[in-house]
Amino acid sequence: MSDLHRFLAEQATAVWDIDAPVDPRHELTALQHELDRAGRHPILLARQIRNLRGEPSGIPVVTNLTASRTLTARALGIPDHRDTARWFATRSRASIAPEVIAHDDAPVQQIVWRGAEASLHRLPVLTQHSGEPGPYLTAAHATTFDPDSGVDNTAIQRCWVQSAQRMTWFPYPTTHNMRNLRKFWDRGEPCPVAFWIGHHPAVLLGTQAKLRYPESHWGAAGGVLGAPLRVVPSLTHGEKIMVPADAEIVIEGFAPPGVYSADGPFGEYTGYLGAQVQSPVFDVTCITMRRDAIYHDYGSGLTDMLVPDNMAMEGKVYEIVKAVAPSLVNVHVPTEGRRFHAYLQLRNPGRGEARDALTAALAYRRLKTVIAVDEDVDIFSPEAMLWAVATRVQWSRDSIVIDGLSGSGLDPSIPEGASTASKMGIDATLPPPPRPGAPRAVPPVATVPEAAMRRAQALLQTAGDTDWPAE
Amino acid sequence: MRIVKDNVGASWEKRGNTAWLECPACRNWFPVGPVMLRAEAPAAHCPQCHHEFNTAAREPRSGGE
Repeated sequence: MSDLHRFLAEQATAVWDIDAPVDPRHELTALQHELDRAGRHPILLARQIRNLRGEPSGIPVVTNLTASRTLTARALGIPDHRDTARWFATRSRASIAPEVIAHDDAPVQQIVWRGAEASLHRLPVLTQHSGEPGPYLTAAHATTFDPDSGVDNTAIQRCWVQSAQRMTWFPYPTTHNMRNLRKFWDRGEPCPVAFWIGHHPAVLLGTQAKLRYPESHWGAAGGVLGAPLRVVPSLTHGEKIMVPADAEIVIEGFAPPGVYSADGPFGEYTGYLGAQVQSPVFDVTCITMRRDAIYHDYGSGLTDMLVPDNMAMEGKVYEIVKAVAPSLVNVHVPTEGRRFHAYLQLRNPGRGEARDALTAALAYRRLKTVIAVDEDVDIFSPEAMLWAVATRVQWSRDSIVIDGLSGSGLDPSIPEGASTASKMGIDATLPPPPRPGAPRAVPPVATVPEAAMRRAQALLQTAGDTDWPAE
Repeated sequence: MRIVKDNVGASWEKRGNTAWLECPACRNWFPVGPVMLRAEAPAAHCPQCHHEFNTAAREPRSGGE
């Protein structure tokens, strides 16, 4: 059985159990910004923190859980994080049906708050960035179902806690949750929702798989986990909405029909404060949790949130591109490109194949710039990628610009009123050899003999601790 | 209440895509999406003082305050 507690125990050396009071307003997020700047990615556990009533929270906060690619890959059972794309493409399609367990056996229903007790203000919800209107749930997985087919859907969607029992809920207009909500609202009915918070990172990533509509995420989560996900009927909605039995906290209730509220501004994955928009609201009926519940927060726009989402994207982009470019060997969606950049690594692509790969990848909604390189370029090294672009590209020959493709409305550079984006593919591969077996008609890369490299590495080890300049 | 939008000019000129509202109660400026300027939008909510106010009846001024 996998859950957040077990993961934290297994990765104890990577956890910083902060032995000091931390303000839920901005301070944990500030710590994440500092750590990102320093390139350090411990898991942060804050026990000395207050809830929204200002009382000491009996529920600690975990954040930065997935800021490290290495640690997140380890959670998935991938020995090397650079192998995520192929791994994810295979495992998220290997669906494993969930296991339904009884209420009494579900840790997430050990404690039940109902009526006035079911107050969001009892939770240590963080306010992350300046300019936001208040505390947001950032790791709440909204689970709804399609009233026509009964098939459920789950996705991370932010919620602004407006009062003890009401919060906004922002399902992006194109999401499956929004389709489900609209179906209920078109019938004049409230939309049933359950938000689950906190789980093993493999479950968090598994539920981010991009699926058709309607299709449950529980199978994909099981595929990524490598075992059936344990689910339990929610207390308010019964078997119509199952929730992960080993989650930390579940918030159940309804989105009343036609009721919208202002929502935001909110710090987005782009690194900018997303503008205020309108969102449905959600009224709480009950809150359930484990006896030893931990509240999970994602640092929005930080590596904490970019790493898991980008790793899941790598699997999807690999699947899309591999279908048209068999020479594809790997994909990297780098956090410095937010979710807008992807790097494709190809092994001896045939003529036209790099451009086929680029155009296929550009069809992925969030991607805006895609760069294809050869196998000798490390797609996990920004320096290596820029070297390839600097030395293997003639812009008029090797760049492709396509306007009018689907894009992200959160892209700060998209023109006002546009519903599509302008995208670019860059072919930074070398030309293929003029005939099979012949050398490529380009200058060779400058190298030194392998033995000399080994000698240099040995010499450097003898230097010990130094104060040499880093820049 | 004042609104700023950057929506006038030639198509080849680079311009922003976000409108800003000034809260009539505390004078704080904050960004809003186009949906918040429509007639059917819910009341805007100042993230600083939590004053709620209607924006729909107001025409934005372009290129400045």
